[in-house]
Amino acid sequence: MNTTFNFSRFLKVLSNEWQLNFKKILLFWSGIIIMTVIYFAIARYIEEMTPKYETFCSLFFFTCVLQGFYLQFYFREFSSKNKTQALLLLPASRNETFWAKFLLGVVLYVIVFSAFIFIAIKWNGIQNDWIKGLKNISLSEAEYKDYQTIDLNSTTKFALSLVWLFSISIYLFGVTLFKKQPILKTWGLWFIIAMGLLLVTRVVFLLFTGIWTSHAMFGGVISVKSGLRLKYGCDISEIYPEFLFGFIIFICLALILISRVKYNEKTI
Amino acid sequence: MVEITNLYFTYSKRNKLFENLNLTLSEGHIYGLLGKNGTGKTTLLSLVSGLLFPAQGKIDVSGKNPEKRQVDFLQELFLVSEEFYVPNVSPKKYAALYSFFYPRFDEEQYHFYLKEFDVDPDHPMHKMSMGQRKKAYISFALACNTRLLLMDEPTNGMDIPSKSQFRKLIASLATENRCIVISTHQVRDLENLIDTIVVLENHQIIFNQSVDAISEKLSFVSYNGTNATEQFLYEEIGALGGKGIAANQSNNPSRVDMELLFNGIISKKDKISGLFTTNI
Repeated sequence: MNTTFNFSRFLKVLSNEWQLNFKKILLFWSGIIIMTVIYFAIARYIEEMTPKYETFCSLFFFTCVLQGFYLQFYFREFSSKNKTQALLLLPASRNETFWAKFLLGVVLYVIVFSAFIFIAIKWNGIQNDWIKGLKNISLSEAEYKDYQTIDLNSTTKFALSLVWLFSISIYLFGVTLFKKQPILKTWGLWFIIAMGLLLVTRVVFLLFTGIWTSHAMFGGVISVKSGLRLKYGCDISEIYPEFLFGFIIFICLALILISRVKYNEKTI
Repeated sequence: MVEITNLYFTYSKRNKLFENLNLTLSEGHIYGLLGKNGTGKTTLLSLVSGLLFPAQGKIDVSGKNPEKRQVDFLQELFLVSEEFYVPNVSPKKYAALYSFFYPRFDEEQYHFYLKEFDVDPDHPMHKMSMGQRKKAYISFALACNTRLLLMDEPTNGMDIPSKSQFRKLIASLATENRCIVISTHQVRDLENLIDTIVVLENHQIIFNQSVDAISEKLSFVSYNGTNATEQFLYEEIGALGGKGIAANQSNNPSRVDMELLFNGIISKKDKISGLFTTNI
């Protein structure tokens, strides 16, 4: 593997990437933020439209949409022969161009996504107190407890590392499956895929718990936790708190390495 | 500068594109890479620039392996492909984004070329016509002053005055330490520009001769009416007359008709190549 790395050249590649793509990325974020704000405003003032419990969980619906935007972005970048050619012929080392693309997409996405989750957790805490204070709102004890599980514990870390894993997988697929396939460029396809993932996590959650939830990203985590609890009588993260977290990080690092090697082998 | 040895390349198992192809390109020359559609001109340029990897054989560019895409290799190479990516910025901004990567980039030259091609440096490139965009891109390519300049169908989409400007600029760039390869179907656009003709056909290089050698060995004759007095190696007959390639018997070099020569090489390869003693 070519290990040449010049920091000023890397910064220049990164700055070029940002200058050429920032409008698109800001558009993704603003689109999601606007959608979320509108949704919450409607849910806040027209209470009968959706239960409070669903309102919080729907945050993950929007993160799935954001994921769809990013999937489409990477596939557009790597399925375009002309863009790939320009990237491969740029007089910068493969290390520099790889990390510039990676930072702009995957890392930025994870930062935004994490911020989104943490804001949601904080908001949820506030909303919990608010709901608790309102005696007229019917909220089962189980649902209320479910809010409490979303906290900065190992489950959250696990969920965040899953997000990272998912994002890195996008990059890996982007690097390897970049051949000319027009359908891969349509963001609609990736929206459907993201929605499909959302549905799968909900179905798995339903199978394990019998509850139909809108937990998109956490649904899978909770279903695994519930399954393990059924088998061992306790949560595996309670036995080995950092085990799953560490395992996911390991897979992420392996995927980054595979992406990096695949990037070296990339042709037009 | 470029040394290709026993190159094999294929896109699919059934159809091989290059088989045991050998070619040497030296500094100080402008090569015209000619060939019919689908013979692999673009692929050959992509292999030399490291965008594709050979199945077998070796490509050496100034001691570097293009597959490795090393920075010092890429700094000395510019490929102007037929279709290329330009971001939605003006030519001025484009130079600000990418000139950093080319150590010999000359901004004055860049603006001179843009002016010569009549391209507005502040006009967004995505709003330009294909021809204008190509001229802006070629201006950048020329101003990078790379030692190896590969151009694939550079005159496609250009108007007649721009083609003439292009020839003038390329001719002014020919220096002892620079190698320029121009691949094209439009051989007339390269007349009075290239100094060596390379023809690609049947998975191999079938002809590789300098224009000087061609004009010494071959004579290009046009005639009116139907009767030609000369014995032609290759002949094209039109409604009002004809033209042909004959062996040059005199000591006077003949003006090379590129299109006629190309057609002659494709249809009468053995007859024409037989006159050249140097190996291809």
